[in-house]
Amino acid sequence: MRLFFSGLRKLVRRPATWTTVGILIGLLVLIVLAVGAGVNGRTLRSGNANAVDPKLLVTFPGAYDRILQFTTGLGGLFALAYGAAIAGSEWSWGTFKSAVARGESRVRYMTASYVSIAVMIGFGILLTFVVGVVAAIVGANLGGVSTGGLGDSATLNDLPLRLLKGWLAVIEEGALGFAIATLARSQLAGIGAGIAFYFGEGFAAIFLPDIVKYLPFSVANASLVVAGSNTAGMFAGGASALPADQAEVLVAVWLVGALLVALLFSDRAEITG
Amino acid sequence: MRVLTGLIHADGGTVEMLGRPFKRGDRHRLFEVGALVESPTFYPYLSARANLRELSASGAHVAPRRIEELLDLVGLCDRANDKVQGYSMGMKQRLGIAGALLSDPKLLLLDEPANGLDPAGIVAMRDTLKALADQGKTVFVSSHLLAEIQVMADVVGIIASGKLVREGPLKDLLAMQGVVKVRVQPNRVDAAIVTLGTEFPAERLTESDRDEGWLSVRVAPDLAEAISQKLAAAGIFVSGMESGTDLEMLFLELTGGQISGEGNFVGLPASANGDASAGKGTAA
Repeated sequence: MRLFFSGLRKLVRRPATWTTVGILIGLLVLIVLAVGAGVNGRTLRSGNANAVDPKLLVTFPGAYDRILQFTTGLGGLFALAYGAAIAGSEWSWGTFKSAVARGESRVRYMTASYVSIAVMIGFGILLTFVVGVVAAIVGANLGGVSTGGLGDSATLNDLPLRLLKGWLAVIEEGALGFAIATLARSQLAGIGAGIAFYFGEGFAAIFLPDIVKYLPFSVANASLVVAGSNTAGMFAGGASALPADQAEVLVAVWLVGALLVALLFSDRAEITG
Repeated sequence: MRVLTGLIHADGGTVEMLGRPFKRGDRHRLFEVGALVESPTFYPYLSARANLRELSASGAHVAPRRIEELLDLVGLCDRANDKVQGYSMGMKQRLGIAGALLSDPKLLLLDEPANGLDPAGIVAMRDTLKALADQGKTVFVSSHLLAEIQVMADVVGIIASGKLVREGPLKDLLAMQGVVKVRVQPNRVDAAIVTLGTEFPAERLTESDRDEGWLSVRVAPDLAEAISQKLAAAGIFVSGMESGTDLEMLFLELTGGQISGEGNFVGLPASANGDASAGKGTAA
């Protein structure tokens, strides 16, 4: 527990934590307010069945879904970079070396480090979601959209589970960044390789959808799809996307797999730097 | 040192630490060890106090007041709340030493502890390490600053190209490597060498390249008086004299003058004297 709380304290004081969550919140608020200001007087589109009407972003209870999708979708990419930055810096700055030289267990240290990252990601998702909902209320008022669905009990009851699933999907992406940076032993290399992997998978999905649907970012995205909702995005996968329940299992598999790789490497690595 | 701190694993031989074998997986034994391996490492966005606090979360348990004691010991109390990224090299080095001392170790491993320290800092560091040794702790220092080692160490090991070529109490090693330096009139140096050459082997007599009129006789320091008398009897009067022992000379003798396995330093051409050709001097 000492290591876990130490990990949390380090993350709370780390500028990268607040920069990451700040950018995510800033983007979300900007988009929601811009949509709110832009939809004033318009009605929902009905012509194109596949098109997503921007007004949905400020129309409750559907707005809950949209904000959560944004938070976990873009948040996943941010979590990837964040996980890579934290793990990579332990090697780049030599702080992992110092802990090992003090007799600390390598596996325990890295596990505590990852768990503290997962907790911070959970806090970031929650904060972003709450701020996003507040921004959507403001946007709805700007756009003259009713906020009558704000207290929709069915949606609100479902929210904790959806937030939990969203958190799992995002920390899986964070675990990938964590593992890649651990293998690379570098912040920058980890972030760069992680982002390349993210976009590479998205690009490959165009040509190899039946394979890519099992890959980490696609399953993370598929696990968040709500039946009947109109989702869009890089890894939506369309008809080839896995069902959410299967995707959830694969999210767990990728999460555990990425962590095991990171821990095994940390345990066996010769620390020469 | 990396093997001793569990950072890398020996691919051969055995390791013994504090009198007992140290094997892979014996990480709990590192609770008795404090180490500063290569450069000190910290979270740059945290203060010195916070860095020590977070470091103390790993390994052996550390009482919170120990952090304050160490900040005081290394003279960082006034800057303890400043972020480490604003620290000078010397301050980081002092903080690194504090980090190594966190768990009050029985064995302290320090790699180039004087790096970046100013002269006052070096003296303070030396006094601190001596005080720790007086408390019964073993202080193991790896350094290229042989003069510093000479005034600090009790036991010395000399490593050349990765091999331990000599090890033993410093006094014993230096007894074999005394030096008497004498200064005579520059035009009498050759005569002095001839005179002393009747008493000592020629390879023990060296004229200084840097200081005109100085010559070194590599003999036990207690022969200084006899050398002075010998020169005086030959009508060569000594205007300056130093005697002692020199770890650097011993090192050069044992290693054959090679700098290290990392490559030889190629000296500047004698004619360079600051002109453009000085660029020919390289370090490989």
